[in-house]
Amino acid sequence: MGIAAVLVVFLHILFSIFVLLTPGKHNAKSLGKLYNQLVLLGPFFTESRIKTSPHLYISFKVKDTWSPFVDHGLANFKSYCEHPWRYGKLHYGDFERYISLQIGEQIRHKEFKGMGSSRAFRELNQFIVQEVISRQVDSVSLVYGLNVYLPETKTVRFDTVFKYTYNPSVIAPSKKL
Amino acid sequence: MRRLKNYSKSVGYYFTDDFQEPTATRIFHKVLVVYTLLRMTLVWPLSRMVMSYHSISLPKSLPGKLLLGGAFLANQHVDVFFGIGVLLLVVILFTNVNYIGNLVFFYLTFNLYVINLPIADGSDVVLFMLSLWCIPIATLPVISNERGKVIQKVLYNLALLFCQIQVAYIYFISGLDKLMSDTWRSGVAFDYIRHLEVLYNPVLPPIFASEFWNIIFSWSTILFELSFVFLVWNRSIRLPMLLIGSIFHLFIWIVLSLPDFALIMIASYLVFLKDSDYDRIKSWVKRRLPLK
Repeated sequence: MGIAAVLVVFLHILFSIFVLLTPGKHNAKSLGKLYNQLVLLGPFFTESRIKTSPHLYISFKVKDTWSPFVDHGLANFKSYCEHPWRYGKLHYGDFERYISLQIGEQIRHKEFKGMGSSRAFRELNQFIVQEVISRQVDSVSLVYGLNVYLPETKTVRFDTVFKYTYNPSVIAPSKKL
Repeated sequence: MRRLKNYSKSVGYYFTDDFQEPTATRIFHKVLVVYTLLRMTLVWPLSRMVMSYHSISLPKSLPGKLLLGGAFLANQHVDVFFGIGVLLLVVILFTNVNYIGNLVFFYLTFNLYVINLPIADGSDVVLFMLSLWCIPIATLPVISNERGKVIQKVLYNLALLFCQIQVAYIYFISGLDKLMSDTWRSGVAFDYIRHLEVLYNPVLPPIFASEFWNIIFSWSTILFELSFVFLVWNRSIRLPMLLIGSIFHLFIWIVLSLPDFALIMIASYLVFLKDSDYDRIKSWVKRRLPLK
């Protein structure tokens, strides 16, 4: 029994090394993929993760007047940093960035079928209207993109992923509250 | 061949002899439960907000539906899931470690991960993987027949080792990735991190402004992550490595605003502690506090 246990550990390590050395060569439902996703966790802070930071800027119109574009996720993050006991503020922007990323991916893969048809967009719209703006508005304007830092010039470039101006009342809610 | 067989046999006794480090393992398990309890309580209002707008797709298979049952309950009645979850965690915390409790614990952490996917970071997946390996870490119910007893010990000790390997892999993979990256080797990574507005703590003074220090920070990170997997098993370096690791994660907590990840990684270090470490702490406390 002891030898069998040693063998299991040996195989576990051996298979992990094999998966580590053959990235991207495992089918979606294979054991290799499962190891890749769950056993070999990470890497964290990869190059792609640290080179860009996502931002969603929101503006809305009430009685012909547009509000300035504000990144509410960032504002909440800054609020957490100033008051670290406000844990909720830390993850507040994560949700809108997660949904925005999904919309961005749909656009990139040409799967985005319009604002009203995309579940992700409906979720984002409902979240923004009810949670962020929390008032009756005529129009909403969204700009989502990535801040890319350029160390050579010490400057930051903004790459727009999507930009929409629309009437939020024509977008069906994703969930009934 | 015979020598290899004898060696395997002697190593094999590690698994069959007894439950390894029972006190340290129990403390590790309980700390994981406390961490989950804290996390569940803190994310409860956030999850309520997420679940108000976000829908989870139901898998087609019956095992999938059963496995994600908690997440679907949360999708409809978020407070019911969290209420039951917190209650179950309290029960698990105050009862002896057993298989049913461990299964429930894994079920909760896995569903918590699925619910919080839109707001999750690496900590959630680390937590549910550790709770998965923890399922066989139980001495209850006591098995009466000899063969069953041996199987119980082997599974317990294997699970303990798998938890340790899981933590070691996290560092090794991250260290390897950084070693392969020119951005990390040159120290520019910290210049990038300084400009990550949604991660870098703006309250702090500019820490990563010096190129020289960025190279030092980069290589310290790479060396620590790569060496952890080898040095954490060494009797004399184990504790200093865990101390360095804890400082490393506290630093990340403050600078990169990742409290959850820092806490779960520091909690996971307890899996490397031995019963003798707790005995030493106990006698140290006794020496300093002469209690009657």
